[in-house]
Amino acid sequence: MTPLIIGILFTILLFVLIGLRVPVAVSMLVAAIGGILVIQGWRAAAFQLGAVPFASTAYALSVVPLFVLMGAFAARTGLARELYDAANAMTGHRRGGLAMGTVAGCAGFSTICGSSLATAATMGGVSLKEMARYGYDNRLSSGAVAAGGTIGILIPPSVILVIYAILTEQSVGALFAAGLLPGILLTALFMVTIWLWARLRPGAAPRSDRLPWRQRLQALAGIWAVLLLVLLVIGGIYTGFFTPTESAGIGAFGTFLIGLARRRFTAKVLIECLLEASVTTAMIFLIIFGSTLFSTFLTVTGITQALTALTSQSGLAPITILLLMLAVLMVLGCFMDSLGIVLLTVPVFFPVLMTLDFGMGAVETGIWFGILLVMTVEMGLITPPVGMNVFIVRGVAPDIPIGRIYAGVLPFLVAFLAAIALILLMPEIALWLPGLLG
Amino acid sequence: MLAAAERATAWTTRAMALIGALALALLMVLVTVIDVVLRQAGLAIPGAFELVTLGMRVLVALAMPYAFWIGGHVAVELFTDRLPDRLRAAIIALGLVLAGLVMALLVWASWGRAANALRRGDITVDLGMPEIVFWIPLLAGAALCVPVVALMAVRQAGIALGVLSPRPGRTV
Repeated sequence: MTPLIIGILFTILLFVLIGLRVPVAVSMLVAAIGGILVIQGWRAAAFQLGAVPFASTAYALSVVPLFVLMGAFAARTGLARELYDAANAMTGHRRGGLAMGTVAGCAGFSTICGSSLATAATMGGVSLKEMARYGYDNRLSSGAVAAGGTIGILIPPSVILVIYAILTEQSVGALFAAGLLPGILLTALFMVTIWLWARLRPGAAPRSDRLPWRQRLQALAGIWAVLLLVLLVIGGIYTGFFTPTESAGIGAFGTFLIGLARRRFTAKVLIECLLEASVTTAMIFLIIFGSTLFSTFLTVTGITQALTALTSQSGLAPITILLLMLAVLMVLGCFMDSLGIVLLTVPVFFPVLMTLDFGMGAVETGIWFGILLVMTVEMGLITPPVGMNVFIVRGVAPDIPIGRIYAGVLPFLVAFLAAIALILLMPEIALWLPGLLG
Repeated sequence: MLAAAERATAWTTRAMALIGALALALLMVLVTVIDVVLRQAGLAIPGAFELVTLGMRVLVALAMPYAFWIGGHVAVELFTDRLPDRLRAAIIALGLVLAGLVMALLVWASWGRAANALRRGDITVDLGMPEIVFWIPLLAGAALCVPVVALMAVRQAGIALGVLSPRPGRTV
């Protein structure tokens, strides 16, 4: 058997194990150890495995636990409430305004939280009751929260963009800048979706009270703490006061201080935040362990080289190959979580992609693909059968049947596809800002 | 007997995760903040980079057994959820055995590297810390995962055989 055949067999084993509920990280480690063992023998497999713990915990990755901790703090500071109130003060009196406020609140919360699931859970906790009080159709309200949460990963800071940057040796700062406009575009398209829904079914989204301008401005002023934090973290990176890696530590500390000043942090809450961040970190790093060894496995078996050769001989246009890759990501997104998909597919797809000519430089291609990849896998958070954000909304509002939440996210899925299509057709949406910032 | 072992495991893994969390707060957050502030005054914490890396390794390793214990590692449950309870438990038990084997292999393979670092007396560049200090938490955390998943596998095997039920507070 050639190494390639062995590689393919062990890749099949990987998916079988994942299907059999073996943790994704363990499945990756088993397939990789097995493949390297069969091809290069026991000593090589042990040598590569022994290198995993150090290789997977390099300094650059320290940004991951720090941003995770920042998100855990942010969810308990009460900042989500103020963001929601501020957004509602501006939009609430319009039809669908409370749902638009939810989506805008999600976008705002994304600036201090790098996780989609945490964004959906936190904003859902704040906004679903409010929308129910005004008689919103629960398909619209739950769909807006589940979809709004997905903005969390595009608007910086974003844990997955950091991991993509490290995997592909891109600049974290450039990827953060690249995610901003697509994040705003997605927010705008979600709002258009809500506006259309409210026009077609006025009963689904009643108006709430119109606030006088004085109160609106007061509500807007209430988000000063969030703005300060964003200015500190993002401003610090781009003015060179600290590196993107350090910004995560500064952001976590800043969020901690806000929570402390607001007397939100009892000892119990602090322990909760720290434990939550610890478990999420351990989960993420075990998958990184798996991915590190799996990358070696891909090189040893020659799968990456074979795929590169196959794509160059296929005569397919680069854009067709890119679309095929996005289709694979979309299918995986229906079953797996975003991080697992990114860590599993980037080592395979990225080298292939770098050989294709999209009429732009290698760095630009890498950034553009990063944004497309992250958006596509994030769409998986709201697609059946495994839509994690849908489950999160269900957890926050157990009275809304899962089928109604899925029905609610459908129009937002269309908006999501439109956003991905726009960035495919106009890469400048992602590339303009990083180009401007140099 | 099993319940007592599970209670001890729950306590130990949580305590270890909390120690990991302390490393996150003190070695990662505080060191970064103090280093950035001092830098504005032309000073710096010597070896901040190494301290943050050490903090991350302590955190990752010590939180890993707890993540296994509370089912925090990502798995695809869709296909097994439709199976009868006992068959599902048997499949989960086999997956846990696999996880235990992989973690044991990881410890064994890493031990070779750690022993080399110890024998050679490798030290870090900035602080001159022995490199083995970085290995110890990684090895300890990964090693503790083995008995933790073994215990979880025993419970699942018991459910598969129809002699045990899920842990209190859990449905699977």
